[in-house]
Amino acid sequence: MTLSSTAGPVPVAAGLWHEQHVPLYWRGLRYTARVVRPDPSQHVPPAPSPPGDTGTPAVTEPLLLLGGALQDMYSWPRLERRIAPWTPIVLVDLPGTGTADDLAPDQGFDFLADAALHLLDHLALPRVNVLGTSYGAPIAYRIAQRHPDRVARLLLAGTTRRVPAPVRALLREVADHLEAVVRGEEPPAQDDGTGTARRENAERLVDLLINKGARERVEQSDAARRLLCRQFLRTAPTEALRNAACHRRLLGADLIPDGGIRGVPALVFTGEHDITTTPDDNRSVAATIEGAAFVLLRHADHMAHLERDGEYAELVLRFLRDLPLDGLPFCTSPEYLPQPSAHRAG
Amino acid sequence: MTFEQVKEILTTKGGLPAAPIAPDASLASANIDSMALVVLSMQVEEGTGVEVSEDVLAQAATVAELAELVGRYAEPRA
Repeated sequence: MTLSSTAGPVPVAAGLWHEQHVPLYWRGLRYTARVVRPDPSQHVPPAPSPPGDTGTPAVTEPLLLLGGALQDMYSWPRLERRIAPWTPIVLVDLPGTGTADDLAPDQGFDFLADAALHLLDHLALPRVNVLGTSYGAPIAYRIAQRHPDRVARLLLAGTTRRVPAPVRALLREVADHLEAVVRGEEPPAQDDGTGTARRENAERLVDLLINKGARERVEQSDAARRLLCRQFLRTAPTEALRNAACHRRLLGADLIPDGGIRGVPALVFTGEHDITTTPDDNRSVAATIEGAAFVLLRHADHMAHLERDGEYAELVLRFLRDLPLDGLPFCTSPEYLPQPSAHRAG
Repeated sequence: MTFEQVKEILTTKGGLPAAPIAPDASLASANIDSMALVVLSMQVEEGTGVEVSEDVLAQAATVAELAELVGRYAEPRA
């Protein structure tokens, strides 16, 4: 799904964090990872512990974060700030996103999962936590399914087994338009010169991601809408083409491969008002993972990481540290779903 | 708008921790990201009716400069 972020003109927080950029090369394509950890030369205030934390030492595997289609490795400053005191975070511009080389249209999530595994090998990380959000979720799923021994914990946010029909139709339409504009077959928007058509297109995309109908019930809904809209309007034509390619990748085969996952502790979650990947869509993915917990963040939609960044981070951190998820005021009680036979792991 | 007022908005509405927000801190080291600037812009607009782009606010080198910039927008227009 198209996702956007806090990425923008402001650089990611500096000073307390040490970041390492790692150039990578996989099957002829260049891409880059970024590892964020506390800077040992700086004083880092201790991270506030989640309520109920007994003070257990902060030991967990590094977190590999695979973000949304319109995000890059700088898109998660708020999560970085909250997670990095506990464990390094590995962010990556996989081929077809951010600073990486373009990815051929016929390459899909299998290729991207292999590229992410190559990254782990390159960093000599035998075992990590993996968080896949939206477009990143099918990649994370494949890693855990094929290499459960490499995934300490799997977190999927805003995921679906198949993009719903109305979303598919709009994504296809947007991708067609973006490609036609870049090829010069259509003017840069059937525009009236005032940017109105461009803005309308941006707003249609934003309407996919932000639940307009729940505006009063979603925290920071207006701010998230404005941030996304501005970001779409700033998108350059070459970037738009890459976005179109990501959209088409989501329209391909089933996002979640058959066979399920077992042997990996997993958490699936999204905002309770998510209309891009609905709670039921997410629940159906959780049902393919043996023992997975499923929760909904209250007062949030598909853009929960923007709307409730603190609670989002707390949920992630709790799961990474094996703390209980019951009784949290900002999300529903965990559900543990029976696996349908078609997806029963094994 | 004063530095304290801007800090108040950033912490209570923008979800940022207070400690790093010092007058001489850069926006990055104060954790002021695009979302925080959008929230700040919206608050200024709500209070004054004057549109202020977060892209303009992002040009500030420090939080003190940001407050000064916001203050200029928030001043009553002749």
